[in-house]
Amino acid sequence: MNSNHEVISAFLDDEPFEPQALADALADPAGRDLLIDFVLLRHVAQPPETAGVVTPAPAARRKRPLYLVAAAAVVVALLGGYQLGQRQAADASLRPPAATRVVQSEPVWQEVGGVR
Amino acid sequence: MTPVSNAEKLVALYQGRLHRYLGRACGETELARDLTQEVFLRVSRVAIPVASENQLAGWLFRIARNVALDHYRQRSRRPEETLDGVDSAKGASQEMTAALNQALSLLPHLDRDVFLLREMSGLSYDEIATACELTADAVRNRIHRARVQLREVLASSLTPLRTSRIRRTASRYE
Repeated sequence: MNSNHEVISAFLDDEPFEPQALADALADPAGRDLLIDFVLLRHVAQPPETAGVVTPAPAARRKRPLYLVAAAAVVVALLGGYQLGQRQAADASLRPPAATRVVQSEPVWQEVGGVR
Repeated sequence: MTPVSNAEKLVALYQGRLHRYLGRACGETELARDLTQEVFLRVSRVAIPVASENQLAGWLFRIARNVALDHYRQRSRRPEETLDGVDSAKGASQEMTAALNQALSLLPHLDRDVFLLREMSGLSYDEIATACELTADAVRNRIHRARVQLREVLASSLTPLRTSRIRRTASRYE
């Protein structure tokens, strides 16, 4: 193994390196193979949450589409109205019906005075 | 770099990286959690040095390394526990994980730590140098040597990967 290939490790690790030394190392087929194997080794060594995963920037709070909010409001209103209607209908069935006409009845007996 | 003087900040900054390093160093996820706790317990017993974030990383990982070394010593007294029973990583196959752990166990302790501090925790060569009490040049040399040795041991495992599709690993370890 060529000790000049150390530059490949430095390159892979984002450490300072001499560009010419890297060019020389990669001009050698063995150096190119080494780079590929080092990348594979990293892929194997690192846990899946870091290996080869481009972590997204902290997600900005996404705005919910307005139509979704409106649809949700309509559904809530409909359900609320339905519930209210159900409750009122139940109350109404327990109440006596309102009078629609007045029936006048004549007394069927007569008071007889002086008899005791 | 801004100085980090607060233990809570330290935990927030390095907990994940410590856990990954200790996980591969000891080979068990659950144990790594305990060892990470042990690191922060030790940190809580001493004054956190006023230093830049880079220097502090080296200081913290030196403690982590000592915790790992203590664990190795304890385990060496109990030879029935081996790296064969390690947890498998989700991405790599169980066989590959076992092969990697086996290959890592063949490396000299210092080379293995240098490699793990770089690959699992993303420490810079300077930070590793502080953690392992080496020069940056020595770190550079040892990391390369460790990789070459691992490559030789894992040659048969790496060959199939050459035909698969992978992404270049981004330098993100947070």
